[in-house]
Amino acid sequence: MPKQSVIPKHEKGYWRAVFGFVSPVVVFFTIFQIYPLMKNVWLSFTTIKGGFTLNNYYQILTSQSFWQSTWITVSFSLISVSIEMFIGFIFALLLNQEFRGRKALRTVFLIPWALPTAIMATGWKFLLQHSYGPFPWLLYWLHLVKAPPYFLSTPNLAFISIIMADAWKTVPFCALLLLAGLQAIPKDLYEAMQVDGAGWFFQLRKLTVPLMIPAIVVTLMFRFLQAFGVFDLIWVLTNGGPGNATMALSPFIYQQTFNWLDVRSGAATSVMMAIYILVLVVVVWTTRSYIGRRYTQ
Amino acid sequence: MRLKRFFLYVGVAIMAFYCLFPIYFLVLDSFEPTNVSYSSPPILYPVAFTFSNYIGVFKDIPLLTYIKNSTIVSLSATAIVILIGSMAAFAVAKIRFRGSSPFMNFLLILGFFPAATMIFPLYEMFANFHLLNNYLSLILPYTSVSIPLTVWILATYFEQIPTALYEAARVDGMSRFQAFYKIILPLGIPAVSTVAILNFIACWNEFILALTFMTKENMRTITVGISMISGRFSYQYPWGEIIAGALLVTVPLVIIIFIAQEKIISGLTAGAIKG
Repeated sequence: MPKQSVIPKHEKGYWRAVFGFVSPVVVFFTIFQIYPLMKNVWLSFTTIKGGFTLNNYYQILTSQSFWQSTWITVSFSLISVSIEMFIGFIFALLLNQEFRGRKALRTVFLIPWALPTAIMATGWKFLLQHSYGPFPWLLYWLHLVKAPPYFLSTPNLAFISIIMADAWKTVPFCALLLLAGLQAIPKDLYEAMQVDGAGWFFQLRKLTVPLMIPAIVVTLMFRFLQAFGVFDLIWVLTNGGPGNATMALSPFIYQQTFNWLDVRSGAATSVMMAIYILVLVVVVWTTRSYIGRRYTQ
Repeated sequence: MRLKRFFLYVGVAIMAFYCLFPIYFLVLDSFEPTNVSYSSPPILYPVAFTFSNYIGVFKDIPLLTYIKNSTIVSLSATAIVILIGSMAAFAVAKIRFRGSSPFMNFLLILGFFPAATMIFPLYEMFANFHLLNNYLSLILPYTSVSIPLTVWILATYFEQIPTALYEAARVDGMSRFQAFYKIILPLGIPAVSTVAILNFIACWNEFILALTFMTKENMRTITVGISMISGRFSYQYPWGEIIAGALLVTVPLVIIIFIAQEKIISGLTAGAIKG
């Protein structure tokens, strides 16, 4: 993008103008995002009487439920995002072909994305019901299982259920994002390769994938950060259960704060989650600039 | 070549099936009378037809109230964030003040923190100000969380509008703010409508804040209302009605998608690639 000229800095009242245009936004996110984050940091280091303590951290860092939640969050994000990117990439390759009804199909692809997660999860809760939900019986009738499985009351299957529902909602979204990346690849590169007699798979391996790597990595990491905060899906579909089998960090914080009324443990968990996210952001940032250097001459 | 076409259409069929098969079962169930929808094993094709679930859902839950609440909250937050976000985007794109680039990165990072990490202090704050069960308790934080996307998309778009237009307006004696909202903002309408749609959908779909700050039945939003119906019935989940309700409140979103498909896709890809 060519850099357009900007308003000269020596103009009178320059900083007052900047302040006027930017301050409403700054006021909003200071009150409704930065203050709450800081307040949680403060809460996590204090006792009920207001004295300094590390006990809140000691409590959660030595509790099994915190590490289990961390593990569930990380594995949920990793597995679901990998599946979504893999299937999404295949779908994007197909969508990039010419066929009748392509536009209609793209519209259909937006439906799972636009459905509110809580409502989508309500729908999946029905689909996965043991006795009258269609999904367990479909698996049974296709002879994939010996008996209709209890999806939402078996720990491992409940975990698979949230991944399945998340994948259903997000695969089309990933496909559309990757499709935009595919369409940005110049057509003549393919033509040049075809002239040289390269086959379809060779083109994919030597041209499409290498050119798509920046788009793939960026989409993957941003999706990962998004999946890391998962709440609605779990709260509605499994409520963190059975037991704590699907209690990711966000619902865990909610449970500590509003069900157990243990505000300070909740705050300490929030701070830990914020630290995880900051670490991820640093990783994303460095990887992104590394990839940017490597793939754009 | 024929074979390739064949496989392509098989792939297309699989993709359409992937997106639509859960919806097929939901639509099917929502039109079934109770005795059919509770048969076990389930019947996966239509055998009986009734509208009773769609009528029942309006009788058993205040669906229209939920829709009203969601609409008020989403529209207000969208309007406010466009007003203040476009101003900030203008400052970033056109004044390009010192520190605007760290400012943009800061916004981006702020957007990554899940609502759960800030929910209790917000709850406490709204409780202290007696704003729980008040539309403001959702409108204000929704506005705040919509800021990063709004400013990023609008700033990218504003950068392409020639500064000469702004300068001409200034020479004509307009103030900076007039030049912004009379000249630059109208030229940015395509991007403004994209962010309006994306923010509206995001606010409409929000769950955790709505669950926490709206505890009274008549203040609940759609997402919370629908997903909490099951708790109202002690004996049996009224699945037919829940699903009828879920499908009904999805209709506005599907209409938006049909109308604004191109805008949504361009906004999403801009957000993902730039962001």
